[in-house]
Amino acid sequence: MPPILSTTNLGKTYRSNNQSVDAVSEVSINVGSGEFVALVGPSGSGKTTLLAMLATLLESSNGTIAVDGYAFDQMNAKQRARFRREKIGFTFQDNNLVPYLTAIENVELMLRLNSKYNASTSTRAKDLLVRLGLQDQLNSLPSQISKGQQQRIAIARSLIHDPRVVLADEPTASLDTQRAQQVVQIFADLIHEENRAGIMVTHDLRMCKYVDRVIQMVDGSINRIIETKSDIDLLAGTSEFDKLSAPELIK
Amino acid sequence: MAIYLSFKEIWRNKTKYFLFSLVIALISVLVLFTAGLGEGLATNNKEYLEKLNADLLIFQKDVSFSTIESRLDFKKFKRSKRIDGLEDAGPIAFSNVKVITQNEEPIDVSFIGVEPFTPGAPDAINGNNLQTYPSKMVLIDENIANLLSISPGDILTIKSTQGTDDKLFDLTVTGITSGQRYFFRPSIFVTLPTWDRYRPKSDPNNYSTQPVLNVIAIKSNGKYDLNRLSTIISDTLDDIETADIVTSYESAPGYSEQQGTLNTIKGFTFLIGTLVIGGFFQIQILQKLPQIGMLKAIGAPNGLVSSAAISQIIMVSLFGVIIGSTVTFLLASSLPSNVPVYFTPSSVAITVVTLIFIGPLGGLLSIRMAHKVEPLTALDM
Repeated sequence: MPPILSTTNLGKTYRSNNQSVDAVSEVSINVGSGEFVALVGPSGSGKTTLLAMLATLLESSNGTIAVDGYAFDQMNAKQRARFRREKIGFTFQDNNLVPYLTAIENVELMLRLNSKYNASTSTRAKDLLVRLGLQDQLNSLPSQISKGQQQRIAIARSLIHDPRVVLADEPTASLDTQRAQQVVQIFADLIHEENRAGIMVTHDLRMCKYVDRVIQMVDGSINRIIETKSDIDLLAGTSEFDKLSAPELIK
Repeated sequence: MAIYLSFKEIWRNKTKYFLFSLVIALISVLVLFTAGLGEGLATNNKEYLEKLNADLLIFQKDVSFSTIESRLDFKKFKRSKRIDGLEDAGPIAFSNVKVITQNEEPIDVSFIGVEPFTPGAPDAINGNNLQTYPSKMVLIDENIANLLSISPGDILTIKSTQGTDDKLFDLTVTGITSGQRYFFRPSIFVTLPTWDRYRPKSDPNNYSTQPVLNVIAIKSNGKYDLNRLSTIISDTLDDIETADIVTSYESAPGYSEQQGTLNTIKGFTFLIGTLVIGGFFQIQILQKLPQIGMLKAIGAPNGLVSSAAISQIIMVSLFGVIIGSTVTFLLASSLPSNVPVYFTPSSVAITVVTLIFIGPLGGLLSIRMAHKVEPLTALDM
């Protein structure tokens, strides 16, 4: 089965004062349908830059990115915005929700943006929130609910419009361990069930037990890929695995 | 979608936006009152001249079109009637007297001498027009008729200084005209002989049936354009000059200065309004940068973000202007009648439209800011 998301020799170089810095270089990955991938690595390793390029928020310097075989490197700003709202679901670390919209309205926002809002999709949005345990918060404003609940709403919003790719930038950064695990587990379940291609940037390596593959980045390049679930399960939460986020210690 | 977002934001932050609408409402009240005061003062100054059924006024030469300074011999009026291109000419003489009231202080009025059924004589809206005979008849402005509850057939007593003595004269009200204020006073109209007999003067015995006039009102028959007609009149009569009606009342002492001052105040208020609205929405956008960045990151087009900002500014401005206009009209209707605040549909419409327009104008910078928000920067990614 062809991958939903694929990159080939993807790179991003920043230039200033005659100096160039490769934030991301030579990254080639494939993420298939129903596959959930974690991007790990120390700060400055290029995870977020890679995620921004995959989300079409940042133009690459070289290489290609394709979703369902459709390369979007040459899109203009307007086309990229359309691509994002139609094909990509995004959960951020913070500032995820529109503060003056209720939980259900925040989820429905993606439907409205894509002109898919109707009685049937609205019911689906409600069902998704109920599934995420937010049946009592449907009409609550973000300021009236906890961070964990806000992140669950963001997850619902990132999935409601049937995106091909779901991206998450440290979605559990502001949550305690228990809530973080709940959120990522639900996220992983939905990605698997709905056959999306999911990528999550995380610093919390305990969350890797919910993903299918872990890609470790160092200095902008892929340093190591842990492919099998058994390896991930063995390593998750161990000191050995924690060293993934500080690869200089491995050396 | 843009309206949906802006409406939701306003609705969920009702107090904040209501308070800001009140600021816009206060600015609207100030601007509308300034406009109303300008209109009221102008009307008080010019109402009689503005309503004249005439195209031109003849003034004495070199008096800067001042009706008070201008002096015209009665013969000039007679000669003017024979000028080609005129439908009619009417002599006008101005003075001031007091109208005696039963319980209150005497009221100052413009005492205007005219020839009945000529361009200087206004028509009655109640009762009869002024007639040449009998004498001692007076046509009064509705402002004074309403103030004193006078009807046609009643007696109006005027007080006029004759020599060194104040004398009272009774005049019979023949009819009531529409508002004819002139020089901030309501007006009463009599025939020229009556005018000259009762006007304040140093020699009580010095009066005539053909007194010295101030101006002559000219009604064109359309044969010539007004410039040509002015030239013909100037060529026919010595030591005169002509002006159209607008020039005539704009030349009244203090008129231009007064209107200029009020327009400057109005302009500054508009400017302050623009800056206040601009400042408020700019702060709003600065507070919402991460939110705007997030919206763009999930695919909201720039046009949506900008039009949501514009529609929000328009909604808040519109609400503020509606409150301001309502408060203004309620306040204006409770003002005493001697406070010169008038509202005409055209001046109110222009002011209100301008007030609604300054919102988006003030918010242009914030809309531009919203347009330029970079999702990655705003989200600190």
